[in-house]
Amino acid sequence: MNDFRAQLAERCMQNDPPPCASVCPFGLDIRAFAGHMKRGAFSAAFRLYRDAVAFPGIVSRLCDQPCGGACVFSGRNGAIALRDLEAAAIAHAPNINPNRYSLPKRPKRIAVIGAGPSGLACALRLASKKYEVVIFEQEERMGGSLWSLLPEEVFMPELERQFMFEQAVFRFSSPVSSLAQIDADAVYVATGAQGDRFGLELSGGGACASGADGLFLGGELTGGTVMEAIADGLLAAKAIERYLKIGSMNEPLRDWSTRFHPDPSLLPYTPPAPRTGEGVLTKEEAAAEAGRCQQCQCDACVKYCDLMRSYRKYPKRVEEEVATTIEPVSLSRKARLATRLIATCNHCGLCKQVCPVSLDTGAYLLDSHRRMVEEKAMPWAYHEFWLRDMEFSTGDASLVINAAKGGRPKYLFFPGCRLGGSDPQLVLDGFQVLLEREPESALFLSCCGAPAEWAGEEALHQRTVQYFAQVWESLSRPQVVFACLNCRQELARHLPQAEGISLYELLDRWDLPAVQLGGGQAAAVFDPCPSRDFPEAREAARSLARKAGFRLEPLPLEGEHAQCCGWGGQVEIANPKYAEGVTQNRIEASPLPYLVYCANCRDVFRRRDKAAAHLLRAILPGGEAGGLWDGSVPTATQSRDNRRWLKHQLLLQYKPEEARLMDTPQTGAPLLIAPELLEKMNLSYLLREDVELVVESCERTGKYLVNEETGTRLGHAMTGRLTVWAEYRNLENCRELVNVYAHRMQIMEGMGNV
Amino acid sequence: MSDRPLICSTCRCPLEEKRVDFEYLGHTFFADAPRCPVCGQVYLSEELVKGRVAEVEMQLEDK
Repeated sequence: MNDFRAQLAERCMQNDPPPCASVCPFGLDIRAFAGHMKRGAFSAAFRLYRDAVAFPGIVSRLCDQPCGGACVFSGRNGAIALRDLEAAAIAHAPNINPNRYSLPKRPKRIAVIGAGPSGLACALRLASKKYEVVIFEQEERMGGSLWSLLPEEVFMPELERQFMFEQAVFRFSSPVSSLAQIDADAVYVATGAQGDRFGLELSGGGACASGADGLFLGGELTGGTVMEAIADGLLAAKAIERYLKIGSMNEPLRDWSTRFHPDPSLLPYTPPAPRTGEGVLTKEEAAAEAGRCQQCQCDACVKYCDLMRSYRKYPKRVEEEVATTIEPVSLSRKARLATRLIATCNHCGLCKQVCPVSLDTGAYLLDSHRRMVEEKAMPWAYHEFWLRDMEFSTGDASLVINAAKGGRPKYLFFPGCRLGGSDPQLVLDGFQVLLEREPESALFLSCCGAPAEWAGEEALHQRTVQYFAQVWESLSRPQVVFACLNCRQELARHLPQAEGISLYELLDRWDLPAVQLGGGQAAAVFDPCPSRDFPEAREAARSLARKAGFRLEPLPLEGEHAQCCGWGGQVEIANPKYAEGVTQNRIEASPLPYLVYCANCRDVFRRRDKAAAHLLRAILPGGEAGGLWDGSVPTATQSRDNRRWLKHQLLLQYKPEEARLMDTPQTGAPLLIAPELLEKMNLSYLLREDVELVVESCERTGKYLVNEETGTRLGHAMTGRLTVWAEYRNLENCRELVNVYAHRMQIMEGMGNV
Repeated sequence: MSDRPLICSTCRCPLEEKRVDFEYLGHTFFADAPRCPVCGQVYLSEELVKGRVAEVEMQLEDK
């Protein structure tokens, strides 16, 4: 767990400056500057710029724009024209005079030797903080090297403007021969190129620091350009302030280096607009030019990951909040603020895929989920329904059919738990096709264990994988044929010795007689997120779709950048709005109908009426009535019934004597449930059998509430840890459900009297 | 449903507002709700369950 924190500290580039700012002598926050300019906030842009460079009127004319060479668009000769933007900020800001602050004077005296650009910058910054500043200049005027670089009428008014509210003492025509004659708490020597050093050298131990306490030097004297000189002056002011406050000469050296180098091909490029005039950019031109800036930041994670984007949290922030949630500082549970966030990760793996340094926030969240479960701090309600469903898949609905005559099948078809729940006929059809090509095949109905893994139930997960391993071993280790890539990924990770292949690859290889259901219709193949690891399956799915006559068009993100449909991680109980939003985002990615090869993707899309079909449905003959794209979605109860039906069908064919055992006689009066209530139950994750259990428990114990007006009975019972209330009425030979609802908190019976 | 006359099936008496104790995620708390004054059978209306109960559950999960 601490590994992730260490990895973030070492490798995450979210806080690294963009390449342009990393080469700026002033470390100007170009992202923010461009952001202000883009929206026409010239005043804010100007203030940001002035605070960074001290003399905007000078810097905007003299800067040689190293940022342009570093800009991601420099290769296309389209670097952002930052100096033009700076000039536009000055021209269009409503007020470019400095602010006048009324602050108490600070009782420290600083001497600046040299009234050139560097000395002036240092003096200005310290004077604005109300230190007593004295500037010694050997000439009779200020400006130093600026005289040879700019016309006097340009730089002089700018210097005067910036000093207009500050009380700095200028001593012109005052050459300094020895620092000993200076009475000051700190000295900044900025005597210009080839100026007097007074024997000082940069110590390297801090910004502008000499080896002697309180003595600093920098600017053109130490070899900087005029821009670096101004930047040095500003940095020296910081270093001097630090020295005056805490007595140390160790202000960090200027370092805006970056490891972050965005890939220009991933950024939308607009060429620079042709200039209309010679002068300063108009407001519109400036906003358009700033609009070309991509404000580069290492933010692929928040851009692509639905979770981090919707929570507006970068991995570092996620880690901070999750760490305090797993190990709260207080013993009460009050600090577990990120519980729902932890339980909302779809575990699609996209965050790692898009991270330039492959940081795996998803794996961290899964680890954290496990920790929360170990601590009994994860609300049980988030996964109990799915775990019960998994218990059903690996228990009552599980089945092994070995059709191999020799006893050792070549293939073991593992359709996963969801396909049988969603469209059981497809499992039968898929197995049939497999048997036609390879009679030495077996079928295993069960679950891969993903629900337990997502629930953080590690022991249960291990047991489920173990169950799979036992069956697979007992069949002499056949190649496993997966219909669900989630199972494929799950077992590739946890049972790597089991060789696997997707059904789609086999079907594609076998060149089935093509059912031309597509008829030239345009469709998009929607890759399930685990297909990220299986390019060959993705290719096979596309090949099959083309063979079936579909004209495929790409989705904005697919293949190795496949996005989760919303079902992954089974987060919809923990965070229903989030899961819905993710599904809606995927639906809005394209108006085309989706061919999916994961039953979960199919079900979540169809539940929201998106035209979607399982690829197997499109390529295997037969199947359900109605159009390809508008197949119905089973309720949770139907999903179980489907799996029971599937098992029954297989038993009838292969083990008829066992099939009879499945025909359990009906006990008690049948419960009639209206379609609206079935839908309500489905939305509340209630199964028919749960509700029947409540009604039966009421009738058996004779304990319920009677509504004397309507004659209905109302009672509650627990199914798992959920308390379910059922209102029903007894009719002749049957019962009718009138209402049903459920809650997570438990009623503590027998405690209310004292 | 809340204004309907509910009778406990075993004790045949109407319900009265009394203290009911609850537990969720290790937190215990109580509130007044209709109960049978004799055997203590509780009634929580759908309105209460979908409203306040769901709200409290959510708050406890996010604590």
